Amino acid sequence: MSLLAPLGLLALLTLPVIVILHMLRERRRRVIVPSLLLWQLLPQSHAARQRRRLSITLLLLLHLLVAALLALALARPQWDGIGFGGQRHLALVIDTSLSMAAPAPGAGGSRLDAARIRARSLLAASGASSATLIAAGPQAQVIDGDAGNGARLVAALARLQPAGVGSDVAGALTLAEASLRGRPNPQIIVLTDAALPALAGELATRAATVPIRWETVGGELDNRAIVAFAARPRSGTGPVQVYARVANYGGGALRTVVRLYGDDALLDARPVMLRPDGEVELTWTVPRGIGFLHAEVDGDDPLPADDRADLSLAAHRPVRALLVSEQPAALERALRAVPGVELTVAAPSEYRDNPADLTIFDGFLPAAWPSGGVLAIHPPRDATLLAAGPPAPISGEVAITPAGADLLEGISLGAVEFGPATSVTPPAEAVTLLSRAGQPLIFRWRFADSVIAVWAFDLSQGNLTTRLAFPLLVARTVRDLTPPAAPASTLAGTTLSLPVDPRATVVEVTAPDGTTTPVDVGPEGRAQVTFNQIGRYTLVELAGDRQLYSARVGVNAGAASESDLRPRPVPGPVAAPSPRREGDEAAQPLWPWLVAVALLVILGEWVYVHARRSRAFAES
Amino acid sequence: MWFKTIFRRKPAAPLGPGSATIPSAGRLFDEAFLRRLERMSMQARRTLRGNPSSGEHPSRRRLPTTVFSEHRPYTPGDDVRYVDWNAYARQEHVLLKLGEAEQDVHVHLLIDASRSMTIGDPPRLRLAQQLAGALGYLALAHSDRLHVAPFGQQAGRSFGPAQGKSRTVDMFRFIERITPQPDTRVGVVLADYARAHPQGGLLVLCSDLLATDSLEAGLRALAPPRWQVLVLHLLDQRDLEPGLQGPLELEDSETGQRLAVTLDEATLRAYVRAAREWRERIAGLCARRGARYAPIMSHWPLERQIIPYLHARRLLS
Repeated sequence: MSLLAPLGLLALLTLPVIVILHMLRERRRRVIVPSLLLWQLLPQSHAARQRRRLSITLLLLLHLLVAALLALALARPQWDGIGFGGQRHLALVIDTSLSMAAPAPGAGGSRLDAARIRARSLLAASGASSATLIAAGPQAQVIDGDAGNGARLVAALARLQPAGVGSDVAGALTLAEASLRGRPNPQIIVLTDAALPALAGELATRAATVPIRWETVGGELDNRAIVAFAARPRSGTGPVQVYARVANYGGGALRTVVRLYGDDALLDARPVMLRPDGEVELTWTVPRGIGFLHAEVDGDDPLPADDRADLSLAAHRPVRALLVSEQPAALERALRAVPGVELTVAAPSEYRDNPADLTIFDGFLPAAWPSGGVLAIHPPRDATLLAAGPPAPISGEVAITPAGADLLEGISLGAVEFGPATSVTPPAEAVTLLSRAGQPLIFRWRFADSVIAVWAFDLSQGNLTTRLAFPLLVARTVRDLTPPAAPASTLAGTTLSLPVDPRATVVEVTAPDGTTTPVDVGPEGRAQVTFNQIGRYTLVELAGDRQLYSARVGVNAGAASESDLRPRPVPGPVAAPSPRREGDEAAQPLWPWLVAVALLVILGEWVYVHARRSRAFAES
Repeated sequence: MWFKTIFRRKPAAPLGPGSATIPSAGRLFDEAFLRRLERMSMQARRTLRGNPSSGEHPSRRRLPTTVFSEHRPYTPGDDVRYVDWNAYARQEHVLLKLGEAEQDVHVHLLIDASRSMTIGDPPRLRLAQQLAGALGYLALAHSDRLHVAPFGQQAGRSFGPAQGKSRTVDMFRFIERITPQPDTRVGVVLADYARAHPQGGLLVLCSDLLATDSLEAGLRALAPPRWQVLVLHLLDQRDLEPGLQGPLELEDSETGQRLAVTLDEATLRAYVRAAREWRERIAGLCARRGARYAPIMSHWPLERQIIPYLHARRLLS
């Protein structure tokens, strides 16, 4: 049974009021006696005039019964069948953030082990007919939905592992509420170590539609961690600036050593003094040529995973570009200024279908689109790949379409004369990025294993190449047509949608433990990679058997939001009744029956009183 | 006198046929009961003043009578019929024969008609009417002068003085028409009644004695030898054992006054003890003031229990 308006139970406060009224004005049965002469002879102690002992009369019981029934009716109870073969539905939300890997004092294992043990006992004690297991890791996910509380759920519990940095408890609660929607007698139990910064904010004030109970596992532990590790090249070919921040999440000061490794060779060991709840920032300058950095702080704390950090120094993905143009000068200058671009220039007559990451055609188009990135400038009228007409002067304002905002935002095109526009009919799948008077000037689309952009104007007929916008437009177009480098580092548990080479069909992801997982490339040229181990990942983009690109990614556990293992105050149990929804057929409102019974009792009381008065009148 | 009784039993004055003319007599008594009752008489003391011309009660007076008991010298004016001529022949003194004279007495029946007399099952007022009717019939049958006076706060319109059985129907009718009055003041009523009837007599008080004023003041005014008082204390069983329990609001039937009590075993025991002490106090008071006290329960049957009870206590002979 559940109450839709528990505040209605405040009406139960009328019960003591009724009792007090009965004590104050206890109605005595009136008896007519011949004379009070003899009764007045009684001693005062026997007269009992001042006695206020409450006598349990039928009227008192009826009054209390009516008040209790009406108070219950105000609370709007509904019967959901529990207790007589009814169903109970449970959603277990288990925090699988990295902090759950810390030991739980007294549990003989990690906090996650303690949560597993507690979850098993809750499942055994709840008697729920169905249970849903939801992991609240960096991304909340349903591990096992609508399972009984049997072996399947226990097995799913056993498979849980700390998933990474961050705990999306809010998302997990939303998933739990969704899984319990429309089910009678739902309940959510959250098992967490409460090392959640969100507990002080959104989770504490989150409106719930299902009763939620929070249970904390583990205790308060001191920890230190490398919470930031980044690098920035000082110049194109110069040394690299490395930055690290070490935090102490504990009540005691400590002295430790931070070591920096470059391609597994020790570069520096620096002693640091960490104040209680303090941080230390460290910087290094490392020479160019080092591909991978590793930092670690002397551990011996509850969470060793965040005592280290990895970082890739490969800031740019190398782009092999081929420029096919009769007049390549302006374009060549602009392309050579783009970092990471290895440019090859060829005349249209020399063009062969050479494999390049980016091919730029200026006033020329081949018979077929090459793979990879393609930029076609001023397509010729006799091209077979595009239907181009003669150039026509078009007047009007240049308009950046919403799709072109990323490419063209911040580029001043006000003083740019594009000259007569080449009348090109874009393919149906093409997206216009820049237009003038409805005529597309720049558009792009994907075709097979190519990403193609078209500039429908002649560079030699306008003044674009003499404007600052030109190198910016070229650089951005190169970045648009070629994928960026893999991230230098990320946090454990992060799932990234990585743009890959358009020619790549699969990405081989090698985890720190050596396991290699192939990840298919999606239609948008992106690969979804989840980094759930701590250490160095290797990503290899493949086009068939041909390796297109290889990169290393450092996956770290240290974060200010995760490495502080001290629990925050959890919200109290939320007894939010789930409103009755369509389809919730098991719940039956009880308040009409309670009101009906109360009215019957009132009627019975009236009959009783009336009969008693009539009898007393007849006797008198 | 015994021969008067013989004459009185002549069929000249049967009550049976006359009961047809006594429409109300049947409500109080049946005819057979009256016949049986007629054999009794009320015991009146010699000290009461009465009229020796009629009546059957013994008197303190020595009068010239035909029934000899002693002599006294003749004085002029004496009735010569009572001269003992034989003694004159022997002693040459004119002597009068003296004997005990019988007398009638004034019988006063005072009936408490307060509202408390109507409470109970059966109501005490009904029993009081029956007792008054029976005793009144005895008085009339034995040529006494009968006064019947219902009272409440004061004595109401009374019946009598009446003498002779011919007034029986009137007496019954009067008794039956007694209506309840709000409350009662026994002491005041008795004192007033004594002042109104200085000749005294046999006074029968039928009352529950549930009055707030002093009964002693009334009995003091009805002192012997002029008065012979018989107090018939009409009691209901519930006066002695209420049979009530729990929290109650008791309402006085006469004053309307209310009293909240919670009756438990201890309280009821205290009440029973107080009721017993009250009766004993009244009995002692009556004894001190020369009145005869007879407690009578309202549920007792009149002929089978009350009349034998009065007879056993020598209130009737």
